[in-house]
Amino acid sequence: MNAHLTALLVTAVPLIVWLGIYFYLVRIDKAVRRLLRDESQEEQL
Amino acid sequence: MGRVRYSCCNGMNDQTWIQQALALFRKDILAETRTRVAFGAMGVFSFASLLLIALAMVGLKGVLIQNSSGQAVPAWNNSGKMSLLWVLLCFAAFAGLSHSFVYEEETGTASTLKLHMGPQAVYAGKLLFNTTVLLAVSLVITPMYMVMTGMDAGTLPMFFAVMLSGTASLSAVATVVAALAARARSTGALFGAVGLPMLTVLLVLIMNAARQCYIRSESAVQYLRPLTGIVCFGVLIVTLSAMLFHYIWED
Amino acid sequence: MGSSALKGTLGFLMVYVIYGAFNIAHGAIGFAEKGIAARIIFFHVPCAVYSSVAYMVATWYAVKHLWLLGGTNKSNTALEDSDYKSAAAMELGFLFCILATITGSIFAGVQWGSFWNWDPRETSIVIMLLLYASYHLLRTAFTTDPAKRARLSAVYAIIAVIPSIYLIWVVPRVLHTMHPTTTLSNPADTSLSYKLVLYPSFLAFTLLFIWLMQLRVSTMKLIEARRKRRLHAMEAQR
Repeated sequence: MNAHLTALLVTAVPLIVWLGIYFYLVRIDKAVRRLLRDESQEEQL
Repeated sequence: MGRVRYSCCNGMNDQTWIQQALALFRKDILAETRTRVAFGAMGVFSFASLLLIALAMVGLKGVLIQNSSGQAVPAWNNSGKMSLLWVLLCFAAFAGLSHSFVYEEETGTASTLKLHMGPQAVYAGKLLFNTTVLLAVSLVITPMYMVMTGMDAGTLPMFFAVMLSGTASLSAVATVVAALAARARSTGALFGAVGLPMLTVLLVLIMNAARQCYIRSESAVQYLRPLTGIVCFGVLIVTLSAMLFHYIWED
Repeated sequence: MGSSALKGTLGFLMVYVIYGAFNIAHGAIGFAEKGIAARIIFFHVPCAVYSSVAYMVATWYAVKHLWLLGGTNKSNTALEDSDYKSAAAMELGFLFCILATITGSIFAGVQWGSFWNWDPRETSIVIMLLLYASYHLLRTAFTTDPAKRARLSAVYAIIAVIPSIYLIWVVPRVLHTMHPTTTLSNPADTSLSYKLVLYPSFLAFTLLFIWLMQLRVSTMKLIEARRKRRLHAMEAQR
């Protein structure tokens, strides 16, 4: 196996981990935002 | 009993905080001579740990190991013994020093104390009391430890300086953490767990200074530098604690 | 981070850093595995830096909390806000501290042949970890009284600054180090390919820190709101 391919393979693993964490965080962020909006609406009522 | 204890403090609002602190110190010492809870707990605890350490290390007696430069040195040397003595004193401090604040909360005398004196006076009094008790304990335990493990004192002035500054800094940390932990519900479990991480840093400094007890050195700076670290640590802790104590003490 | 543009930036920046760490930066001389071991710098160093930056942020908000308490105009929202920010920074510091310890240990295993060497930096980061843990332990002890919890944990955060200052400046000097302290503190020694990845890495970790902190503060607010709602419901039942 040549060095370039190895480097790409080594890159792929942390990349997948990071993307997993990132999109998980984005989902949490959306959920928290929605809950905070509900909370402030409830306070106004 | 609470009323009897505080009778000495009645109508003392015109006193300075130093006088108030000394009054609190006298009251605590009087209570301690009656019950001997703090001293007894720390004494028995540290004597038991002393036995544990001495027994655990008895197999290392006379064992030689090679150090990094290839020389044969004793596996359990004087600075190793000194480090374990300090581990022992740290544990002892955390076995007994929480008592001074906890019993004020338990007997409900904390609110009486709040009426009679300012937080600074309470802090000073408690710090003085804790330091005295810890000094007394280490005065008893250290000679026993030296006899049982065969630890040398090394350079005597340095040895006394390390013991004194180390004990004072140790009680400074323990006092403020005791005050914090006494406000929580599960005080006993919390006290050691919150305080010991702060003590690890102090222990590193003390071990560094203790090593200097056994190294002959001509210049005084070699002795003073590690001591300054310990003293500064204690002074900084005391300063910050005194500044922030009313946030801990008052509701 | 109010806008989603910054979150997108963070996502791409970290992808770039991961790509760059293995494809842009060259293997460095003096490191194990033909210099490949040096690539951990892009993740380990920001984590280690942020584990102490987080402590400073937490202390800043702890001081602010006590400052607000001492002032005449006590706004409840401002008090809660400073407490949540302090606690959130402490949690993130704990997280980055764990990450720095793990990445550092892996590096030590590859570079020095043992995962734990009692190197001063290793010693100090493990004590730092303990300090963070005891802060969170202290917080768990006050479940019923959030104001008291906020006040006392702020006091602890400020007092524990002294041991952490000692950890950063004194302890590494007291003990003998084998950490490569000079390579990164002297920018001239760092080659261009490293700067090209390391600086974006710091930026990415900064954005990540801010985002995570905002998220944690929001969840703390939600938890507190739920607690208050339950208290009201219980009082209404009575």
